[in-house]
Amino acid sequence: MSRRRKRKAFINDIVLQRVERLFDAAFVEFPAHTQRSDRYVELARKLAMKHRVPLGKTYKMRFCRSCGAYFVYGTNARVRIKDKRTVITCLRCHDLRRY
Amino acid sequence: MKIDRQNVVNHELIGLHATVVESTNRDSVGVSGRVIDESRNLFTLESGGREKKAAKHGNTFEFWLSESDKVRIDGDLVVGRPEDRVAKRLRRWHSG
Repeated sequence: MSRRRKRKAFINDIVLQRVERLFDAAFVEFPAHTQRSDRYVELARKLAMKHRVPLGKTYKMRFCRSCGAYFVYGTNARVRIKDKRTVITCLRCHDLRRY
Repeated sequence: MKIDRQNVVNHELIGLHATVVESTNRDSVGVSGRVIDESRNLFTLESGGREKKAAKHGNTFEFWLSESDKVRIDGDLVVGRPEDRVAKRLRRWHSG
């Protein structure tokens, strides 16, 4: 592998690990500090955007693309299945996404 | 690769426990807690329900990677926005 590719692979690996850590932390902090959870989502997105690393469906479904809220399904997000698609509704800003 | 001594500077520090072990300001030594936020120049630590801010510049931190693995990092090595740190290259660095 060329040096540049190795470097990119290293960065991508670190970014994905950090994103995972941030989402885990967001889950832990949610009951007591929802703003922290939202902040961790913001940091994760910045990380991925800055280094051009795709987040992946699992992470993309866990926050609101409109208001940036971290989702805990059942508490601040409604998850339904309609016409074989999952529909997630943010209970804060009422944004709706279909996956 | 997991977070380890080689990539601490690039990795996510939020969630780790940190202590100020050396400082240009005597009153800062001993400030300790779990990292809950990070900005370009400082960490926000939480301990016992209270939040404390610790500047990066001028302080040396000890981060707990695990119960038995602690690493000392010069704060000046981690100055920078969290999203910028991931690409930081280091030739030689302080480790303890």
